[in-house]
Amino acid sequence: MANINRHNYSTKLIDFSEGRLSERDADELFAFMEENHDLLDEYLSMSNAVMPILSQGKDVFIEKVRLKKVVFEGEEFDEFSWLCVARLEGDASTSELSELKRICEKPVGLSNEAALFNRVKLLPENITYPNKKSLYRFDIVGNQRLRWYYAAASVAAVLLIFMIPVWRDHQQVSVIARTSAPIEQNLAIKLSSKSSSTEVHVDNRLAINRSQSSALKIRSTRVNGLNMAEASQPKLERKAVARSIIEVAELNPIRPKVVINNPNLSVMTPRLIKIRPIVVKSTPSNYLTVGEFLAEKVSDAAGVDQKQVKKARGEARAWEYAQAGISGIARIFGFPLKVDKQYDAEGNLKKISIDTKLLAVSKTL
Amino acid sequence: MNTKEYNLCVDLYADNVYRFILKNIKDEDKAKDVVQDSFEKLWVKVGEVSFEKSKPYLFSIAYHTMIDLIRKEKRLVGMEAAPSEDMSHSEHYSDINELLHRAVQQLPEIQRNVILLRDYEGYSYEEIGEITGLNESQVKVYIYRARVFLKTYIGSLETVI
Repeated sequence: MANINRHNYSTKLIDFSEGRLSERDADELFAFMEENHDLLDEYLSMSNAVMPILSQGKDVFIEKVRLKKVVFEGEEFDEFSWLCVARLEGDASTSELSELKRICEKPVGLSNEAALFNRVKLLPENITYPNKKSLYRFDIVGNQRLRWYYAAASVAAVLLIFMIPVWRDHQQVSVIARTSAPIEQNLAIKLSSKSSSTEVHVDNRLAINRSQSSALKIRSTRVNGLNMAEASQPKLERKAVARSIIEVAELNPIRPKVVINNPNLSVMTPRLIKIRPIVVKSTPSNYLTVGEFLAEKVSDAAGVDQKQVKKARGEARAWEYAQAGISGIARIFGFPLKVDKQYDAEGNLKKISIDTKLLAVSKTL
Repeated sequence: MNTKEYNLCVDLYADNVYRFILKNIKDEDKAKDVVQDSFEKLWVKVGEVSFEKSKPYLFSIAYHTMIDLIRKEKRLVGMEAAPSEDMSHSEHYSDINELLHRAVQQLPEIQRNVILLRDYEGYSYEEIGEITGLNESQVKVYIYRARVFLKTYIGSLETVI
């Protein structure tokens, strides 16, 4: 009892109200209050009053929405994404934009997602190609002139096509026969106008009259892998012929070259064939040229009509030259050129097509 | 197209083609080679391609040359490969554009191409289709997927920035 007095009784009362007073101290407090009625009345009046309570709702963090994480998924979110992308790409219609606005208003956080979509547009970086000069192209001539060059090139091509055969005939190009040889391989016989010492032109007339030439024959054989052509007369013994025939110099097994060593000598059997250049003053057409004679004889021996072969081959070669010429011009002036060539099974040119910017030519040979 | 127009193409489009290729293969020398090859091929066809069509034609050549190069080097990871889930970001980014360009590198090949053509060059869906050989719907889908990926990528980094 002595522990509770008018100075500390209020502390004891608070302890009692919060349940922290022991039973013994509570009895002591009750006894004290009964003895002091004024204090008891004061306590009773206070306990009936409403105790003030601090408000918990006034100071709040108002941006909780920003902190929340929402997982968006489902069809509606897919539609939302499509609409956001459409808006970004500029494809969204007015109604789609309204729909997007409506969707954004519903779930918390979708407007943030929409804002993110608006930021995924790339801005080009300032990157430049460092060596543009290497890419430039320059005309050799002006554009107007270039057209003229195209035309000139095409005309040149046509001229090449038609002039080369003429030129070839004039020059008596030395290829005289290309045929299936009687000795398995294709035999291309080339008559050279040059000899080791002097020259005999293929156009030179020989002291062989056309009417007499049929009595003379040339036989082709293959000796030790080489193509040989030899002149012979039916009555002549082979041994005799072998010593006095045209000398055939072998360049390769496929394309032997017939060489007349010396036109002043009898290169065939001296007693039988006089091959020597002559100056034909009258009726030159009665005499064979070197080329004609050998071509005739070699093709007789090979068993083909060399005229046909010569014609086809010559035409093919002419077109090949024409194509080469046009290709060269095309390369010089830089205009497009397309060449298409078709060959037969033996490798002979059968068809050629040349297509330039201004001219397209196709020829079946 | 004449030579003058061809040279104008060089002035107008060489940078664009170079940028497009460089953003894809990340190798300056190879990107230069692709640009050089593309203009060589354009020159070969200079008589057949009009000036108006030269830009998409050029991009188409460059695109296919680049694809060939990538395939040759076995760096192609598959057109339809899923985007990389790796969105780790230890680097520090100064702005959103830098972040986006980093994100673009993580896109699958085809999505990266269509998004670069769309954003860098402003091509329509149809033009992108002509360049890449896709149809318009496919282009739209790839652009959509790329946008969603980029949005997710920068969304995951927004708090870091």
